[in-house]
Amino acid sequence: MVYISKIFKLSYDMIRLKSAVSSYLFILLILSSFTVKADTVVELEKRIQQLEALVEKLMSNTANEASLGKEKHESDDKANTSSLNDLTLEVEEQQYLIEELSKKDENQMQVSGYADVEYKGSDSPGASEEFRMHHLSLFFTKKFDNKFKFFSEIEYEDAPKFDGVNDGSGDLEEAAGTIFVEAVNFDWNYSQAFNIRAGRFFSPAGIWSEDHYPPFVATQERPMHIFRIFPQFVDGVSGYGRQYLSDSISVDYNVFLGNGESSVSGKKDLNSNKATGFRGRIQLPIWDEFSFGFTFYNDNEDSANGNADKFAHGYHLEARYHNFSLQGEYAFANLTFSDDSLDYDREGFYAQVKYHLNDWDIGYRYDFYDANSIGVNTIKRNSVFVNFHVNEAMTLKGEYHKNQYQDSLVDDVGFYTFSISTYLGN
Amino acid sequence: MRKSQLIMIVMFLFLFSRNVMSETVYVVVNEKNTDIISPELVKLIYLDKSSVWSDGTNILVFELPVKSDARVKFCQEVLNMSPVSSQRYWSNRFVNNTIQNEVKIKPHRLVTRFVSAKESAIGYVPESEIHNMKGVRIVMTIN
Repeated sequence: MVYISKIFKLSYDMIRLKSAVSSYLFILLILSSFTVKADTVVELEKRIQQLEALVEKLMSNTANEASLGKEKHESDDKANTSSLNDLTLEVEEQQYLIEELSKKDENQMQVSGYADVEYKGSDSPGASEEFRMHHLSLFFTKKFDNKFKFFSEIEYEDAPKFDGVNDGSGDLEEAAGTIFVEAVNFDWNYSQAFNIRAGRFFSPAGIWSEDHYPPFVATQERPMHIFRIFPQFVDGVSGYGRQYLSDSISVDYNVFLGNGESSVSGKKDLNSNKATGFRGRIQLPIWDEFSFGFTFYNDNEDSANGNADKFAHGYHLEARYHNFSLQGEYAFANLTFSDDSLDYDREGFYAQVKYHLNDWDIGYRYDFYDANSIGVNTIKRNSVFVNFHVNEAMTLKGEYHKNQYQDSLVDDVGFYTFSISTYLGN
Repeated sequence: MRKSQLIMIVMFLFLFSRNVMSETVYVVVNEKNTDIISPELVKLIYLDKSSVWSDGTNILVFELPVKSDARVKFCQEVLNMSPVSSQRYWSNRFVNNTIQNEVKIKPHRLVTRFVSAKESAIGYVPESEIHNMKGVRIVMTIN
């Protein structure tokens, strides 16, 4: 009798389970006809795991009962097996539905971003400490299929506020901060070796130009020459890809054509000359990661620098051995004008070493920048930093920088920043 | 630097280094995938530096959750980095728009299922999944 009651209980449990699964499938079908959210897929996965665990438990119970050697009614056995098969089929069906939902989910527009807040101070006489609501950036991305994707970034810098005057004039009473479309581009991914990107994108020059996002770089303060020798971004088109020369040696390239630097580059070029650039990089099987490369950039009429004929070149190296990582960049620009006496060079480099220990990074960077070879403009900077990664998305940073000026009239100055930055994506 | 100071530093580093799980981790691909997959290739895939199989199809990469023991072991043994660093690496490549591979984070039980269902997939799972390996091929064993 005890055994029969157990069987009935088991069957009753399975009927309840089936009922729950059926209800769930019904809800699932309704959900699938609406917009699919990532949460839905996650929930489905959890549900599948629960169902799998239940199926295993039921099978285990059945096996245990059988091993006890008690008599069973043949009809109960058949009912049990049939119910288990039904449940297994339903689990498989749900897996199929998950895949279908995942496909839909992949093609949804994704929203992510990052944010950072700083507390800054300086040992310069009279300088006050401040909180800075530095960045809130939102990324909108969409993958149309395996070949086409869209990427954009809108940055809100220094908590922008724009307030109009209520007198019909259209004038602004208050305007502070920056709203900036930093990236908006389309990618056509043909193969690993050949892809095309069109729109606005960060200049593929060296390392920091692309790899500069606060949650993922060691310091809030970027090396001084970054964005000053090669432009911050390109409005144009680029072709890029990677080719393997052997199992572990690869070269990658990025060739680009754009409007060049100017205040209105997003709408029109200020001149008929296009800026061109090329970055090449080779990756070698040395240490855990090792790559070095070069960048060339040419703009025959650089609107951002007095319509100079600008030619720049740079070299970079990036390496990691276990917890040690090293990166450095050098860049040089030659700017020539119709009046030769105005010609000058611009030069900068940095070398950074970082040690990662558990959730901590500590490191040092030496930085050099000469904005204009005419005159005494050289700045040398020594920086030390420590980062604590609260988790994979959030980082607390402390950094101290000491600037030394070539100009004897300018006093050396030290400044520090404490910050919290977080990545807002999944 | 004095010898005693050096010993102190080395001891400090050992004290703060994490223990790697003893369970074996298996790197798996779909059984229909006939590519020769070396440990170096696995590393390049999980560093997003190799994004296609030999027939040109895009690689679908499965990662385990950051706090998974198997991910700790995989990251330390294959990538020489922590799971948090590895996840930050993926996120960084996403935000700077240089990511090539399609990456999905799934619990290990689903990784086996998805790899068995998707010909272009690669993933890694702990030893406890050894009985659910139907439809997948083990290409690397991390002891």
